[in-house]
Amino acid sequence: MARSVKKGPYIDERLLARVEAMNRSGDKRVTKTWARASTISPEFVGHTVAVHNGNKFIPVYITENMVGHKLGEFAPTRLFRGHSGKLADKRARL
Amino acid sequence: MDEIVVGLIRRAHGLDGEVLVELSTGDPDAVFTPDRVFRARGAPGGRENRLTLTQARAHKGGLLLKFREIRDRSAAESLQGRELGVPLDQLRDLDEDEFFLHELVGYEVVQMDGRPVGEVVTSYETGAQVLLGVSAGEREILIPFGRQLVIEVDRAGRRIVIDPPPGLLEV
Repeated sequence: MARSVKKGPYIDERLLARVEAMNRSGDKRVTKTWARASTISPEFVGHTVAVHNGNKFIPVYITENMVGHKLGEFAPTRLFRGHSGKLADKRARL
Repeated sequence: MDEIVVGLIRRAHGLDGEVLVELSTGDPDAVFTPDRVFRARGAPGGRENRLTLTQARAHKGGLLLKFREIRDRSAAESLQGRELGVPLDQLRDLDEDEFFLHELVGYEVVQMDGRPVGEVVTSYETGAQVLLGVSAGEREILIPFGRQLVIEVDRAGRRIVIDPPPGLLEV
């Protein structure tokens, strides 16, 4: 069942406070968090959040289209290395 | 001529010679088109098959493919574990700001002031972004591959210049 609209989204208070403080000071320091269930709010955009995946911290650069999603969605608990040495048609764009 | 792997044949499906393929291309609609010829690599003894695609349909996160040369389940089963390759020149050209992930392995990563970070050893796709795995001594540093952090990718010099936010290299 979806979370009640009346409550609003769940955003980790400590994380939001840290991000807001960085926004005020213009700092872009990477902030570590275990709050995978925290919703990404618009204040997070442009920051890099290191989200714990149960094993290590996965750096996530927050963009506008991530707003409304949970942090944990972008830090998979299983990181697949791919088939090493294979010349696969996998591309990345800057 | 370089050949690029676009899929891995997982198993036979049904009795008519279809095979289930795990994709290793980000653009399956453009790659798996009817009448395209694939090379099935990796058979014991270095044997190769040329396979002409007749039909493709989505199934369980992969594709079910039917080839003209494969007419029954036994033939399909013999392809299990083989990789499907196509010549590089048959794929869409890379855009200026686009890179093959395998191409980035071995690149040296440096900061804007020239300080070395390490060497790209692998890459991870997390859904929303690509992470470069950079070996720095015994540690592996993960760097999101995007315009915001990566300033320049120098293909000729096999070098990536990054502008990491404070703390990224210590995570």
